[in-house]
Amino acid sequence: MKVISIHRNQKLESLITELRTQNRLAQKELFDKSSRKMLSVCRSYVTDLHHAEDCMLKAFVKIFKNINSYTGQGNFEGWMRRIMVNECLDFIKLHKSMVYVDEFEGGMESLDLEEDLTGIDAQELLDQLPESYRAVFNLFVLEDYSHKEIAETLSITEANSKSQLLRAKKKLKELIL
Amino acid sequence: MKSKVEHNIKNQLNEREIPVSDNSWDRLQEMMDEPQKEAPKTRKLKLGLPLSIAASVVMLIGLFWGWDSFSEVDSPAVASQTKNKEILLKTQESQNNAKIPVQEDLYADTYVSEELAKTETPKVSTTQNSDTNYPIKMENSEILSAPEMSQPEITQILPEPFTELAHQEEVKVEEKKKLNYVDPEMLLYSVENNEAVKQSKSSSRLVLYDFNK
Repeated sequence: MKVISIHRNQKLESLITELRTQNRLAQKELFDKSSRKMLSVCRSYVTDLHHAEDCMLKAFVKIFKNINSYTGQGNFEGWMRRIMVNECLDFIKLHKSMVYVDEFEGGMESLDLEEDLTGIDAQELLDQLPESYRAVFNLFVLEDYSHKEIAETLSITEANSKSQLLRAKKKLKELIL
Repeated sequence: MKSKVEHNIKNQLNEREIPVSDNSWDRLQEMMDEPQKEAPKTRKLKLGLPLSIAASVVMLIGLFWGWDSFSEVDSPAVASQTKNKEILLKTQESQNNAKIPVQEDLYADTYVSEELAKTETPKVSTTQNSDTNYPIKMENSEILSAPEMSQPEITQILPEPFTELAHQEEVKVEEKKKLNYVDPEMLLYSVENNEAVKQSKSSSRLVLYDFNK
C-alpha cells in the first residue's frame, strides 16, 4: 500500500509539474481524472446540474491559471475542492437570496440525527433545505469547516452559523421522519 | 462529533461521482482561450483610464490658468503692474511739481522746455538731426537766423498743465530730438533786465542785450 501511495504521489507531482507549464495535455488528464468528483462537490451546493457544471468549469479555469499558488502543502485534491466550493458559493450569492436568521436557540446544540438513511438519497434531502441552511450544513459536515471558518467564508457571525446548522438539522430530521 | 445522519450524508456524497457532459472539455478550452483574447483590451483600458484622467486634469489646469490670465482685476501680476505704473506716475508728478513751478506767464513754456533740455541734453546733442542745434522758434515768435522748424512738438508740450506734462514725460522722451533749445543765459538776462527787451514793430519780442554794460 505504501508503495502504491508513493507511486501515486510521484505521478501526481509530475502531473502538477506539467500543469505549471500550462501543458494542455496535462490539463486534460487532470480534468478527465477529477471532473466527475468535482461535479459531485458542486452538485452538493447547487441544485441545478447544468449550473453546477458551469461552476465546475469556471473553477477548473481558476485551478489551471493559478496552479502556481499551490505550494505543495496539503492535499492537492483538497485544494481543488476548496476552489470548487468557493465558486459554488459565489454563484449562490449572485443568483440566490440567502437570508441568515440570527436566532440562536440554546439547548439544541446536541441535536443528533441518529436516523437510518438506508435507501434515502442524501442529495434529495439536501435539495429540500433552503440555500442558507444547505450552505452551512455542507461546509460543516462535508468540508469539516469550523463555525469560525464558516462565518468568515459566508460573511456572517458565528452565532448565525450555529443557528443555521441547528435549523438545517431540525429540517433534515423532519424530512427523514 | 457528527451524528449518524451526518456521517451517512458525508459518505454518500464523497463517494458519489457525476459524469460530465460530452462537450464539457471543449467548453473548458473555450473558457481558457477567451481571457487571452481579451487581455490586450484590458491593457488598453488600464492605460486609457489614467491617460484620460491626466488629460482632464491638464485641461482643468489650463482653463484655470487662462481664466487667471484673462481676469485683469483679480490677477496679482496685473495688479502689481498697475501699482508700479501708479507709483511711477506719482513720483514723476512729485518731482515735476517740485522742479517746475506753475507759471502762466510768457516764459512758462520756455522754462518747461529748459528743464526738459537739461535732463536730456546729452541725448539731444548726440542726435543726428542738425536742426536741433539751432535755437528753435518759439510759439508766436520769430528767429532770424535759424530756419523754420516744425512746432508740433512744442505745442504738444507747452499749453498742457504741468501734471499732464509730468505724465507724458516718458512719452516725450523720443521727441526730445526736436525739442526747442533756448539759451539759459539769455533768458536770465532778459528776465533781470526788462529794459533790454524791446518790441519790434511786428509785435514780436526780441531779447537784445549789450555785453558792454
